[in-house]
Amino acid sequence: MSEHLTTTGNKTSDTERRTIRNERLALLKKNKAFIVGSALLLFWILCALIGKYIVPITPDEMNLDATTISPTSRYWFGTDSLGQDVFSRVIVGSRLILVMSFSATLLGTIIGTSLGLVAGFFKGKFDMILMRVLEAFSAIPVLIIALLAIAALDGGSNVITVAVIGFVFTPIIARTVRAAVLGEAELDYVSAARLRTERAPHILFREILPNVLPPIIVEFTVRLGYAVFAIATLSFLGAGVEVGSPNWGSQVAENWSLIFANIWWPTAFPALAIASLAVSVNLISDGLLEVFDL
Amino acid sequence: MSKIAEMSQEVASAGLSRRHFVQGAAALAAGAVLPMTQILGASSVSAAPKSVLRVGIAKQSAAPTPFTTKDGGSLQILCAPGEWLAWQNQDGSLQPRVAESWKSSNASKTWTFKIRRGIKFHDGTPLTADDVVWTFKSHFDPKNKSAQLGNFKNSFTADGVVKVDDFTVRFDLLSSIGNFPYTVASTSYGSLIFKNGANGGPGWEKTMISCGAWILESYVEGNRTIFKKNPNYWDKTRQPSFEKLELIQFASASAATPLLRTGKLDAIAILAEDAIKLSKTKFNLVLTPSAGGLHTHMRTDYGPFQDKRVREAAALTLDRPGYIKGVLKGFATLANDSVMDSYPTKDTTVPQRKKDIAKAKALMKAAGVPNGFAVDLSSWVRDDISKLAQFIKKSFAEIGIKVTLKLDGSDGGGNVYYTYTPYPSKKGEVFAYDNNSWLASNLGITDWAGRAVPDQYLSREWRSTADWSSSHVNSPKLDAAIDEYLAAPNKAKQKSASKKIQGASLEETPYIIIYNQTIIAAVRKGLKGFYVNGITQSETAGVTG
Repeated sequence: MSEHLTTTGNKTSDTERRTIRNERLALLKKNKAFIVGSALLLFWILCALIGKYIVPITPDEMNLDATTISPTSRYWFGTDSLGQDVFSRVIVGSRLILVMSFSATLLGTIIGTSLGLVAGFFKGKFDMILMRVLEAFSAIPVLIIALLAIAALDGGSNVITVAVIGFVFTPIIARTVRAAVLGEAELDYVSAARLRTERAPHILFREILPNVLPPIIVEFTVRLGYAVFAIATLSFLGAGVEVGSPNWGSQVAENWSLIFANIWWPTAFPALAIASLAVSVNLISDGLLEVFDL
Repeated sequence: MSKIAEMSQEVASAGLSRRHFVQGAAALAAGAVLPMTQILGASSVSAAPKSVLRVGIAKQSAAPTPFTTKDGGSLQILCAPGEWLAWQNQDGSLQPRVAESWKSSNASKTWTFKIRRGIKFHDGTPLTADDVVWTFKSHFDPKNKSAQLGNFKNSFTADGVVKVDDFTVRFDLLSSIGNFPYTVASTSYGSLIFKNGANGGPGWEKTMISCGAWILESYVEGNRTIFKKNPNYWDKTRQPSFEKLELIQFASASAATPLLRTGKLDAIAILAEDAIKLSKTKFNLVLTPSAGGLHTHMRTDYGPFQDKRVREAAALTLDRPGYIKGVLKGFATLANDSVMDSYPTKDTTVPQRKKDIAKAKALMKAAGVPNGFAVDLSSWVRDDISKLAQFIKKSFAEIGIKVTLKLDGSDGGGNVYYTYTPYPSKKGEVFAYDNNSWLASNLGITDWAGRAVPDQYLSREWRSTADWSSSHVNSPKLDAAIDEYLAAPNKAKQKSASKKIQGASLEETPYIIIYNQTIIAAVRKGLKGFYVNGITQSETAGVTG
């Protein structure tokens, strides 16, 4: 990173920041990966927000005269074995996975960033102990921790799933932020802030944080992609979701065996939805990486 | 490690590149992430040589031993090495096996079985009456904790099993039972005969010594059991034509169909309705109408279903013919909330319950819950159970009953739901809680295998002293009708008692039973003689082709 900006300064630094921001926005607008990813993500966000009001058929409505029928003009994605409209269930199913993955990633980012800032700024024994503890946690696969926690908490809930994934992401994000802060803490604007006897929270959150935002944003998008997949996988395994709820992971789990009877549509469309959401987030992440030059 | 597990680990690893991650997601979209054998819950299956008969069966949840068996997977294993006094045929009749004949006396309170001579156990020991007596007495020993005890204890005691001579055994019953031979036949699937002095509990599965057509060669829990043919098998009309029998467990029967089509399986014991679409030109179906199916209980002694008007209202929300036609593709027969509906002794004048939302709402209002209530529906994750649970949830919602599905999927079987907190079998005693288990849940679904006669349902599920009564129904009227049926010496009397049971079942509605299952087995073209009986036991000895 080549720019270091401080809020203590003056109009020049504000202007520089605006200029850099505008340059990056311009670059993002030209970045194809970012544009495609954003469009896809926006589509799913819209589905999550207004999907249940626009779907042609209520997702849990059962038409017992139209079970497992292949895609038609009435049932665009066909119906499942209970006569439920797969299209409506895919559209409405976007809400849960988006809310959960965003929440989990945001939680992990907030806590991870705070810990990374503190560890990178204070260093010493505090840094060493904190990072070893975080590394110990990050050595355990997210799904193992999630399943253990959900099992221990008697079946779990969406809130528990979000908390567990956020908790698992925390060390990874903390490590990224700490690495960025270690470099920043040696720079002049931080020394100047110390000389002005600014308090540590001010230096951390007002001085350093704005300068380490790019890697945090990129890490957020990367983790978001992992969160989408982790939540879909947990739903597939039946953790934290009610059987029959319009949820992509559980839709795949409930219908995959029908593939062997050539009834592919109740599985294929939610699986494609999972893939498209994961791909969209990762395309955004790729675009940001290029623009931020990380 | 399965692909999905690999991908999960990769997702968890900070070292995974986004490119690989995206590729993984795309693979999931293509439905290609789950390699066949791992989906199926079985290890790799190679092409079958003709000397081996390979059969796909359900995943076991209990050990395949006489004392512990209580699920489809384990009972399907037991029917290979096991032999019973009699065998429940595909049509529900009894075929003499270890017993060559039987007769009743003392108004059906005494039953005498002649034991067949010349039968040998797998280790060569001749079978005599001592083995039969030991087998049945063992189930009564409290330290054996036999899951079969409930089948016997209302009918006879350990002292009631008497050796008359080396090849004659007598059962002295507690009361008259017209259908008693079914109680000691394969219908009570854990009552297979084992050696005098042997322990039929955990550990027995290491040898599986009985006197059936197949001798155990290897057993891998939850996966595969291999048998070799018994050269000393007594039944010369049913000598195995295959050298070996492999029983391979599958988490989902639908997933086994590709292996049948490609010749890597010869038969699948139970197939899902949806798989029928592909089957007709590729393999033959073997259909067995049965009395089995899913029973939805509503607790009569605790919780929101105590008022029988509420139970009746709930039962009136269901479009039964629609479910059978649409979801089960017609592979079931209509039921009327009673276990008597699939038997020839059924009284056909009892009116069939139909969907009637207006009447259901009126009943809810009369019961003081016009706006409904919230309740958990407990059971475990299996294709047919999950579908019925969703159907019930959607249907109950029409009268304001808000159902939350609590289906356990943690072990691939029903062990968590079937946590056996023995119902006290004392009138008036109440489990004042709902712990989402089989015998202590306000609303739940239990899968019952098909019995050729209703005796076990009546004595273990419906009578007020029943040990597997998930509804905890306690109706003197129902008890009296059940007693009358069990003691009935002929079809006419059984039919008369059946009418009373059917009427009381509708009046009390402790269970919702919307269909009786038609068991669908599938065999490759050319295979003959394979069938699955109503209780889901496979005939494999007399199979040719």
